[in-house]
Amino acid sequence: MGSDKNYKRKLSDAPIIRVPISFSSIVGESSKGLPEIVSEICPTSFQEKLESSPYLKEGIKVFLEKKNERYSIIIQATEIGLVSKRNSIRISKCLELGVRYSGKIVITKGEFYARFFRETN
Amino acid sequence: MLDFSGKQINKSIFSDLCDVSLGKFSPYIKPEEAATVKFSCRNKFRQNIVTCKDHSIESFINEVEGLTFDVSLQTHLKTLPHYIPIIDYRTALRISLPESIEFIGISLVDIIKSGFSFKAGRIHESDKIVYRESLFKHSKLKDKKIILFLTGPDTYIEGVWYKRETSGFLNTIKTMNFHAVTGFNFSVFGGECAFSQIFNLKKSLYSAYLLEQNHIKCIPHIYALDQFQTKRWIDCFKANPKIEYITMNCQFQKSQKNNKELIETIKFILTELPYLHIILQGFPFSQIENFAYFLNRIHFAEKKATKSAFGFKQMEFNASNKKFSTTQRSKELKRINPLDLIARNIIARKRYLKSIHNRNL
Repeated sequence: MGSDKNYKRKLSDAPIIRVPISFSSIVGESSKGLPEIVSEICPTSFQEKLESSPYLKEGIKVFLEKKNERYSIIIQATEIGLVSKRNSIRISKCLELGVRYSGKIVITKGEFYARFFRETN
Repeated sequence: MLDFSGKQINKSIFSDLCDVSLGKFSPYIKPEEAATVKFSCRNKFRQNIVTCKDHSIESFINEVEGLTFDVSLQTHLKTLPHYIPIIDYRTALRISLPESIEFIGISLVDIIKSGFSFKAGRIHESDKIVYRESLFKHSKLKDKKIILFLTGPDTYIEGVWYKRETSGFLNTIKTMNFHAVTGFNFSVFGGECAFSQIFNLKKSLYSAYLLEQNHIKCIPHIYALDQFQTKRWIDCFKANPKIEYITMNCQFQKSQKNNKELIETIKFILTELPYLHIILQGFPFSQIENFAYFLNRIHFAEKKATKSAFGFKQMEFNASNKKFSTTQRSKELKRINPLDLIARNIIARKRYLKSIHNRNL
């Protein structure tokens, strides 16, 4: 990325550093550490397409609320969409590992999305 | 404690909480080096860096064979030009350059075919990394001397480093016949854990060593935020006198203050090692005269000539008034093939640099 006297890390470029392969293979698969498990299971970001609605504006924060098997995407106590089943399973697993996702509305090519970012710092 | 410019450092509460300040890594990292730590070293998920609190710290230290900078390097490179244009892989596939442009550079991201993607606002890593092994085989650049700069986003750098064995990275770049390859540019940011900073610097040095072990000519990548780090590099290169070229990525040095500090650090290193040359990546041309008589040993690698050409901007050097200018996009320029414009821009850059050299002789 580069270096500097001041902190300039980019949020879009936040890898999880894994224990070197040569050393992790000595201890075996079963003893993978938390960072290695998180980097495998919890994607750094994901997004869900939303139906157009008057509530939606670029940059607005969205929240997740579990509803049966899937997560609802919420803005000011109003459900604006649902997270896919696959991503809902991921969110639950990651939550158990201590990883949360923060979300916001983005507009890409005229379509609305709820975009979620892994919070691991 | 004073910083490199002689200014007093105000310690934050996090300095004393960094294990470096407790002497845990002494004598390899001195407790005083924690004085500049401004953020917590707690990093449960090991995001971006390995800190002093990491449970697997020994595995990381062992991987780079300890924290001392006592690596032995033998690479000897013949004279490199003062200007090295960096091009992207698409350009590399299509462009032909005049004979006067003998050397070009390419970055890590441009030799990667797949394994990383930009999705939902962030860079993602997938399972397998595939390289553009035959990038230069069928290109018109096959007779050029190409330097691979191992710089790019951290996700790429750390991902390739982690999978260097499983993806066959070193073998691949060996078959690509680069003139030289730089050490990996592992990022170092001020204020972060003092262990992380030294660890990433050592990892970068160790990567240069690995390149050499695989019969690839290396250019060590350095960075130095304070006098301790600067001294480490000076001692390291004094012990490795065959190394005549080192490199530094300067893309984040935008402010006047940062550039001034960087220039002072480079001058200091070059004074201590009077035969050493440094290749600065992405250094602003507006500042280069500040290197004065050190300019003879400073080389510039940048993407600007290519980027400007794709923005239909023409770089020009006026020999009579010694002024360098960039012509903004115009209808006329848009009729020129950007690939032709790249060659023109590179030549203008080279001529400008040469004129500054003549002035500073």
